Amino acid sequence: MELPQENEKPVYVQLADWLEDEILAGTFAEGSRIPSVSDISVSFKINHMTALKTIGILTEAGIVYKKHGIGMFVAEGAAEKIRTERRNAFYNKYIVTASAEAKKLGIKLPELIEMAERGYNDEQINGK
Amino acid sequence: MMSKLTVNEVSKSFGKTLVLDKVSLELEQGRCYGLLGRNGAGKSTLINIIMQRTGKKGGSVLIDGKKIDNNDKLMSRIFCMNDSAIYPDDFRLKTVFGITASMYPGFDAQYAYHLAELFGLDLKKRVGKLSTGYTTIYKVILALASNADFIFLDEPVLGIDVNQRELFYKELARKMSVSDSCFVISTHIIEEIQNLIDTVILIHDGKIMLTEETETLVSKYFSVSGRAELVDEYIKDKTVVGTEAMSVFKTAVIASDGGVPDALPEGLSADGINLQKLFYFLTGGVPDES
Repeated sequence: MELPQENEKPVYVQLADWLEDEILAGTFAEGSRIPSVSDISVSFKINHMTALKTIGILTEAGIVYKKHGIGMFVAEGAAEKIRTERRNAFYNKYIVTASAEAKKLGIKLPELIEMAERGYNDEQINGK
Repeated sequence: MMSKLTVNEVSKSFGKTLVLDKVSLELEQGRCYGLLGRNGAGKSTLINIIMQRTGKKGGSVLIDGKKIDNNDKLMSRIFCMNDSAIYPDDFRLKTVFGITASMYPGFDAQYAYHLAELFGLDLKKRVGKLSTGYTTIYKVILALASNADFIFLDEPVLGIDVNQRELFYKELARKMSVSDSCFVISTHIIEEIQNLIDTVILIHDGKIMLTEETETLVSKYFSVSGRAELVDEYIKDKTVVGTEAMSVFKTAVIASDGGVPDALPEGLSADGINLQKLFYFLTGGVPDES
């Protein structure tokens, strides 16, 4: 099993992204147990300290929690938290840069909105 | 207590050639190191010196400050895969497993048999009758089962197939998560161990070029690609580790504490770089054909 390869991201981030994706997809439902650090490191062939770091970060963020002696579980409301966090990231990464670039190119707000609509409704994108 | 194995200013020459030049390093229990270097860089010589199979010119090797020279008790805390190459050809694997068990107090025979079954290794076979792949496999099994404090895996995937490699990496990850052993892996298949090793030790021309945590090391470099003249302009005032070109297209690897930059001049793109590619550039790439 391999993590989706993204050279620019450290492995602990790639692992966090993967776990969050699977929580969003419902693979790991809220309240259910996620694989152990040992299972994760064996399956992905990664150092267990890396997996521990990921779990630590997700615990800190309130996405997973530890039940002593049993394992790690997906917190209630985890999917919503991930979605909110990713929406913020989406705004910062795409909307802010798109707006700045639009101003540079002399694209006015109505035109930008029209472009967003066109992109949103583009059948080629939706067909993918 | 977590122990440390220290190599202190060790040198070695073969005739007039200096193969190790005042090499110093520290290996800690509980960590996993990648001992990387090109052929002839001095990796095997270094391991041979630690295992006391070859003499050294100056320097010392210590465990927690005690010299390991002729100290059997300290030596039984170190396992090296290639040490088992010394068994006579007509020994059966079962016998070799027994001898290893008698030398290493923590040897887990049950685990060794379990691994032999997983890898499809026939213990009734004689050492001299094994293929390259199975010669590697039986040594890897002994290493994983040895439970020594310092375990050297020298070319642990030499001649073994994809499925067996996958099995080995999984077993290594499992072993690492439950034991305090220090693992030192020397391999040319860097891509496959990048996520397993926490620290990189790079040997080049008989010297330690760098010792650094894998993640930190990789984050200090990035590659930039695009039209050659744009790339050349961009890298003018930067620390360039290496370049590759194909007609008008060029890629350059740059050292930068900031990692992959967010903004680049129009026409250029940047990406992170994996350890194998970084190794390739740091150790000289390939000779220029032109």
